[in-house]
Formats: sequence, structure tokens, C-alpha cells
Amino acid sequence: MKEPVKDWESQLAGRPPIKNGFTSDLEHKVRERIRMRQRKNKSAFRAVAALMSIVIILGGGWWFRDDWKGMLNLDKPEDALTALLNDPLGDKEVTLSVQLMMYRDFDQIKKPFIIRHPSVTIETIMTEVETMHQPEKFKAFVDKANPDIFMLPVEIYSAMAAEGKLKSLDTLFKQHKFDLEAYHAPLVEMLRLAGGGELYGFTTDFNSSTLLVNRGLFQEQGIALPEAGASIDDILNTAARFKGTGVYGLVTGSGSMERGGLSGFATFIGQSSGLKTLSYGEDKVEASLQSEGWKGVWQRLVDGYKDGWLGESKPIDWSKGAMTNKQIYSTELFANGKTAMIIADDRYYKDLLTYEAATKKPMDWISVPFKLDPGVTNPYDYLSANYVYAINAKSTNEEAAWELLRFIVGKETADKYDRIGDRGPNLLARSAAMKSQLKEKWNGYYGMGVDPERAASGRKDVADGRYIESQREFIKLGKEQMDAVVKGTKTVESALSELQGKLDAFLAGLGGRGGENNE
Amino acid sequence: MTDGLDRNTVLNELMGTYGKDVWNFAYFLTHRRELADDIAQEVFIKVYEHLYNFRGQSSVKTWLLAITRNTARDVLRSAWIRRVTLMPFHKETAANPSAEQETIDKLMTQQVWAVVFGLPRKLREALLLSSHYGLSMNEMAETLQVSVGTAKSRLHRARAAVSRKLSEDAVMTGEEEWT
Repeated sequence: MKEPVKDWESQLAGRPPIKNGFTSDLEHKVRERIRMRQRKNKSAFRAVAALMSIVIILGGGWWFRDDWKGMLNLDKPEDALTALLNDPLGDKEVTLSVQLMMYRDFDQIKKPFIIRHPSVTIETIMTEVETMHQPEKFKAFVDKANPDIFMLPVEIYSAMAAEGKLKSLDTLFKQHKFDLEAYHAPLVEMLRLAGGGELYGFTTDFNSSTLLVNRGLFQEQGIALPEAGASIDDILNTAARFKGTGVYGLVTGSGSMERGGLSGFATFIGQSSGLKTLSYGEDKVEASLQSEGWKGVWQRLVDGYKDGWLGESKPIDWSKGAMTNKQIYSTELFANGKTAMIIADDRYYKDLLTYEAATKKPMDWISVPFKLDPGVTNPYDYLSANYVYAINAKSTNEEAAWELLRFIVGKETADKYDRIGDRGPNLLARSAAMKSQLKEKWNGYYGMGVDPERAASGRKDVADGRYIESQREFIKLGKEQMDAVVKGTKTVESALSELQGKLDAFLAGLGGRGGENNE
Repeated sequence: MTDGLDRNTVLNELMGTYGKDVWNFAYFLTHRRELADDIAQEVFIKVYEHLYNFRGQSSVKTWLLAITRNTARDVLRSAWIRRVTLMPFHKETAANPSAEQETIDKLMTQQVWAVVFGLPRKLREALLLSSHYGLSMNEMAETLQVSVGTAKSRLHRARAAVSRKLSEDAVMTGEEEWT
């Protein structure tokens, strides 16, 4: 090793001041996951294949146990055997290759599919998100691997649909009488628009945010509940009525991981009200923080914070290492009845339910959809899909690929996701499958009224090489300025002016897209 | 590596020898323990699947660190992480700093690490690949997939940034008056 240039550098050669997490438990998980990936189910003949499947399961195939139970949840147990024997793919030995991104466990889909179609082998190819966002790299991957099914970010789905690389699903949906009515209509419309007017892909779940309301606290104070379709201004006015009651009317943050404090919340509220923050142009990134609109948002929130009706969610303290959800939420304000309202993301919806179940302290809370500005600049916070499944237009296994895609996005998988609670997605694309929780808890997320066309353009900015650095700086500088306003050392106007100036200087250093400093 | 070697044996060997290094690097890049856990697992799964693609064109350590870096970058860019605020590094603070040299050294080490974690990721990874992992300039360039010139430039800028920050902190805490 080269001799360190400075004294301090020798400090870095030793052990870092954190507890290393690579334990024997982690090693075990690696081996287990490799074993799972290697399992293949091959069968030559339909009847033999079906029988073998049943024998394995009944013979104590622990790996399939939950899925067998799931199959028995069909209307009649004999439906399971019928499904196996009537397998439309039973005569064909097919290997399907599925390209995946690192999201949830695909075994949740692969295992039950294999039980129903034992003659099909599924090979999965994990792609790096890096590859997904570099067009040449992804094209090379597609040409080489030629998967039957893709799992794509919305932007890539859009581009590939336009290039004719994906199979149209509209015809297949119609042919097989796929019940589109059972799905969240704005999401379907968003996917259709992103596909250039036709459905070329589909998904199992989506992301959203909505207002969660502690009905109990409203009743205690005799304050009228916010109505569905209330504006952000209405919500802030309602929150202000909790001044002096001992609980907050509203708190910052999205409830789950987002604890960006007052400045982060100001950004969120401003964007939801149609205000811009950073714009990622070819030649430069531009900030637009110095406006009457932003002044109004910052002032309103600072006043609310000082008046005591707007609370600030504390950042999660990671210094002690990994924490359980129960530990994280033990101090979270809405989950512990310290605030009447919160604008929460879908992850919080699931986490809150899990926390209530774990602590056995259910609260009387509901979700209420509110009105967004038509020019909302963060539509993805209210309607977005992490991924879209699509069939390769060049697939030579169209029938099998369709059966798999239909299974992935269909009723059975959706029902299973609803049953398995916190191990499944948060908000199902198939709204008809959201049965295990009261509708009033989740219908707010489905009712946010985002223009699907705005949502269809996805998150192109995140793929920009300058995104992470610029957002990190924006967050840091925003917090500094907001802290100064709260302390009283600056006015909102001067804080925003300084924020704009400092951001301009930093962003100038980032340069254009694809520069030396950026990917 | 030859096809004749048992893959599981090689995997176990690699995890035993490099597991902690891979985890640390994942943590250095993401600041999140649970992400480091996920990334470390993903790295060794990829290693297992691509074992026979390794042609000895670099050291095993460099190869593993490059995979770790690419995987961490994917995670940081994925839609899931978009909704999460990047957390600052929380340095552990000693409860009662004493005059004992060992405690002062420990504080100094933590301070240096805290400053390094405050660097932009590109500079941080260059510095740690050199100072913590002991990679040569060529190895660093290979891991980062940049030219040797770019690697040198980032390392130089990282060192300058850390030196500057440590001098500022020394002035602010009045350490110069102490000694």
C-alpha cells in the first residue's frame, strides 16, 4: 500500500467506527437465496407432471407449503387439482426467461406459478438498475439475453413501447376477458398513456400519498373532519384549529422513512401546490426557489410551527445501527396519537397497520383524499409504479409468457398479496383485491385525482447523473435556511434568496448532463 | 478460477475472506446498515453466478469491490430509494472525553471518519479505496471504471477537502490553543 500522504489518512486504514454487519446469518441468507434460485421443476407429460406436483407438496415439500394452502383457498379444494389437470401449457415443455430488477421476492410468484404449470421452467435474470438507465447497455442486454418477460421502470417501458419492442396487451386482455374494471383506473390510464395510447405492460401495485386522519382526536376536540377533496389550504386551516389542544394538527414528513423536517415538508407542499424546485436541463440544472409562491408556503409552515399546530417529525436515529419497525415507530407522532393528521405515503399505511398489530394499540384513523393543484410538480408522489411487467415482442413463447404475465398481475396473486400483509406490496393495482383492511383506511390513496398524463412521464430526472448530488445539496441548504428562519435570524424572503444564490453556485459546478463529474 | 473447483467452496472462501470488506464498502457508499446487508448479499449471489466469468484480469478484491460499487449505485438509484431521504452519518460520540491519548486518538479517528462520510460520494469512494482498501491507482481506476487520471484527480480533491475540513474544525474547537 502506498504511504498515506497525510497523518489523518492513516486513521482510515484501520477499522471504521461502525459495527460490521457481515455476520454468519448474512452468509446463511446468501446460501439460502442461491439454493432457491437453483430449483427447477421439469416434467415431461401433463398428467404425470400434475401428479408429481401434488406428491411433492403432500410429501412435506415445505417450500411449497404456503402456496399449497393458497391453492386450497380456491372455492373448492378440488379446484386446485382441476387447475393443474387443465393446465393450457401442460403439453408443452417451456423455459421462460424473466428479467427482473431488485424489488420484492419473485419466489412469491414463481413458486405458485410452477405448481399450476409444472411443465414450465422459469429462469430469472437480475439486471442492474445502472444497466436499465443506459440505453446502449440495456439494448445490448436485451439483444443478448432476449428475455420473454421484462420488468421495467416506467420511462424504459414507455421508450420500448414506442420502439415496438413490447407485445400489445390490449388484444390479449380482450381475448382472455381480463377484468380491467377491477383495477385502479387512473393507474391503468397512466400505463396506457405511458405506452403511447395502448397498454404494453401492466403492474401489481403502485405508490401514492394521502391524508391520514386520527378521527378520535377530532372527536375529542369537537373539530369537524376534513372532507374528501379538501384543498391543501383547507387542510392547513383545519390543522391550525388544534393550536393549544396539546396535540399537533399536522406534522411534517411522509410518516415512514421521509423525515426531512420543515424544509423537506415545505418542498413537498410546494410541489403539491404546483411549484417547481430543480429542473434538469441538458446544459444545466436550474433552481426556482425564489418566488411569491415559495415565500407563501414557507411562511405558512413557519408560522404554523411557531404557533405549535404544525409538528416536526424527528429524523430516525440510525447511530445505534439497524432497528425494527416497532422501534422506529415507537416515537413516530401519528402512530402514537400525538397529531391529528399526517400526509402519509403508502409505505406508512402498511407500517402503521403492522405497528398497530404489534403493539395491540389500534387507533381510530381513516384516509381522506385531498385536492392537488392541476400543475402538481411531484405527481409521482401520488401516482407512480415502481415497475411494469411486459412481454418481449420477439418472444417465441408467447402463450406461456402471457400465462405468466396474467398470473403475475391477476386476481390470484393480488388476493395472495392482500392476504400476506406486510410481506406484500402496499397498494394493489387490483383495487378489488384490497379486502383485508377497511376501505376507509386505504381509499384515500386511490382517490387522489392525479392527472394520469402528468404521472405517465415518470421520474426521468432520477436517471440523470446529477440527480443525487443536486438533491443532497438542495436538502442540506434548504434545512440550513429554514433553521435560520425558525430561529428568527432571517426572514423567509432573505432565506429563499440565499438558498437560490447558493444553489445556483453549486449547480453551476455540476454542469451539463453526461459531464466528467457525472455518470 | 477453473470450472473444476466447487463453486460453493469458493463462495464460502470468498465470503469468509472478503465479506466484511464488501459490507463496509456498501455501508460507506449508502450510510444505511440494512442497505449494506442487502447489497452484500446481492454481491455474493452475483459472484456465485458469475464465478467462471472471472478471468484474473484484476485482483479478487478489486473485482468484488467493483461489483459492490455497481450494486450500491443501483440501489441508490432505484425507485425504492427515491422516497427515502439520504441519512447523514451519525458519528458516535464519547461520553466523557478525557485527556488519555487513547480516547483522543479514538475521537480523532471518529472525527476523520465523520468528515470522510460528509464528502460527496465520488470523492469518498476514491479516498477509501486508496486509504482503507489500499488499492493502487490502476486498481482504483478499474474499480471506479474511470481513467487513471480521473481517479488521481478525485483522490487529490478528496484529500484536499478532508484536510480543509479538519483544519476548520480544529480552529472552531480551539484545539490549537490546547496543545
